Amino acid sequence: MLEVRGLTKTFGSITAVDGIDMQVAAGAIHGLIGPNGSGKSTTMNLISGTYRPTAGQVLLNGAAIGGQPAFRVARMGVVRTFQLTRVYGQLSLLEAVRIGALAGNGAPWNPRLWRPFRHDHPATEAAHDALRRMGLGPHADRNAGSLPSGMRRILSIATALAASPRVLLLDEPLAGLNASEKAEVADRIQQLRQDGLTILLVEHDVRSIMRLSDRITVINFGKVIATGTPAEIGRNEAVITAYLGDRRPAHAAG
Amino acid sequence: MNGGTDTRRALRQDIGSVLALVIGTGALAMVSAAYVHGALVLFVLNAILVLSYRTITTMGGWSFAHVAIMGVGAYAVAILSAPPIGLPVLLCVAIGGVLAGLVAMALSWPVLRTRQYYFFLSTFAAGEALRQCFIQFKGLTGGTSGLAFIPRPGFIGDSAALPFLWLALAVFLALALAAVCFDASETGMKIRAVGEDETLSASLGLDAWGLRATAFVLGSVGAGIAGGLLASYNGIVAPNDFGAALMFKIVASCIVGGTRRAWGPLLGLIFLTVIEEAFRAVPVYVPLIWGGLVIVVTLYAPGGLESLVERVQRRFKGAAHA
Repeated sequence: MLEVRGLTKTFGSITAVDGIDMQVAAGAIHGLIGPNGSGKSTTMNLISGTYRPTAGQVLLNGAAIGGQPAFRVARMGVVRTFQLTRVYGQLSLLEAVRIGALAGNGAPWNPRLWRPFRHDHPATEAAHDALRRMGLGPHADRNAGSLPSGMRRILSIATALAASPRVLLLDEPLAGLNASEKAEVADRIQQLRQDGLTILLVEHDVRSIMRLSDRITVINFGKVIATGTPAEIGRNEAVITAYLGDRRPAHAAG
Repeated sequence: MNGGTDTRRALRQDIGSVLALVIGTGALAMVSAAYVHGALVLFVLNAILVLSYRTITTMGGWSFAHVAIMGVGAYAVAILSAPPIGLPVLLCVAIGGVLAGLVAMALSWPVLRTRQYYFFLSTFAAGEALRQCFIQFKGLTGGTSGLAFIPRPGFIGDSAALPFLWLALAVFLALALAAVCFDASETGMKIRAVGEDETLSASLGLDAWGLRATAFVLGSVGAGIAGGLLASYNGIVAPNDFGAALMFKIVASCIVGGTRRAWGPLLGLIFLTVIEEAFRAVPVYVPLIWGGLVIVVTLYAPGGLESLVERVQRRFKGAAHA
């Protein structure tokens, strides 16, 4: 579904992402993990069009999306969320999610400049649907700016969902949440997978990603060091070394 | 409740406030002495300016070039209505609006690359550059002394202000209704979304650049039309008509009134205009009072007067529900 080939990004003399290959299968949750500064966020920004790759390709069902501006990548079906949660805080939840639905439906130049009274619109239905799927239906009229952080995170996913993505990129969706919020967001993500959505999940929290993902790619220093199922990754020597360094516990070393 | 009702109620409020302003101004003109009519004409032209300026602010940037772009419309009318071209004045006003939009489109290429303070600064520079063009291209613009003998539309007559006031009100009504409907439209919503969070909007598939440019160009068309009407009303244009003083008045109206809703800047403009008229005897104090007002509002009601009105409305509604 989503394929990354030899993706590379250099900033000056620093190579943040160095020839990453990755294949995200349709309908799966694919985890992308790595220690701090390993190039996870840069990879995310390269796929979503925030950065332009120095080399390599990003393919969605075989069509090249790498190097396109972010809004075109989104229209082609790859929509992301942000590590520092972004929502339209001045709107109601419904209106905020509706922006996602409007954005996803737009032609490159939208000639519909003038449709003041058309608000019983497919976009409104799409917004209601996205809110329902994320369990925010009862809060549709609340102000998005007043939400606690867990619900805010879920709202940001609902907004992306309303843009009808084929692949959803979630950038550390569990970061900074308390345990019950984490469980809630993880449940919602799992639910989306059951609905058939393809998800690329970047996460710091190894325990959660091991539980959520179907496959995992581990990167360190901008390079892929392991790919496999969570069980394989859990046993992988290179991964353990990358996370724990060489100061492994005595029983693991022995 | 669904998303449509809120937007529709907002649209009804906006249309209501536009109609109230037109009727109120008209009624005031009927009961007041002739010397008031001139002030009312300028008030209505300023109302077109602040409303078109507010359209620009919805995309998240506060331009400082609005008045210079207004000058494009004014000079267009001055030049095109005079011999040897001699087009009808109202046609010239319309052309002036289009030209102002085209100038904004050209300017948007460099200035929309900047955000926030830098947008303010780059538009300030662009506006000054435009004003220098009015001064330097003497053959076309008459240099610092400007151009005179600009006619009014034939059916209006050159002496009294009242007939011109009706024309200005009619133009205001048309433009203001267009502006508030645009604000409630799908594109208007997208523009406000980009204004609130450009990164998020782009990640969802909104063409942020195109939407910001749309707001900038459409707002500038309004400014050009206001400028054309001003030129025709005054009968004369000069570069100093389009300087920082008027620009400050527009920005101050938007700060004092607030820009979340279309009626905010109009309320702000009414406030500033009333102060100006009340201190007619000592006009040197007016900028001082305006400046003080802007500081007080930014400190104590950062959303402007409209946020105060909405707070009172909410409290009232809350009491009604309880």
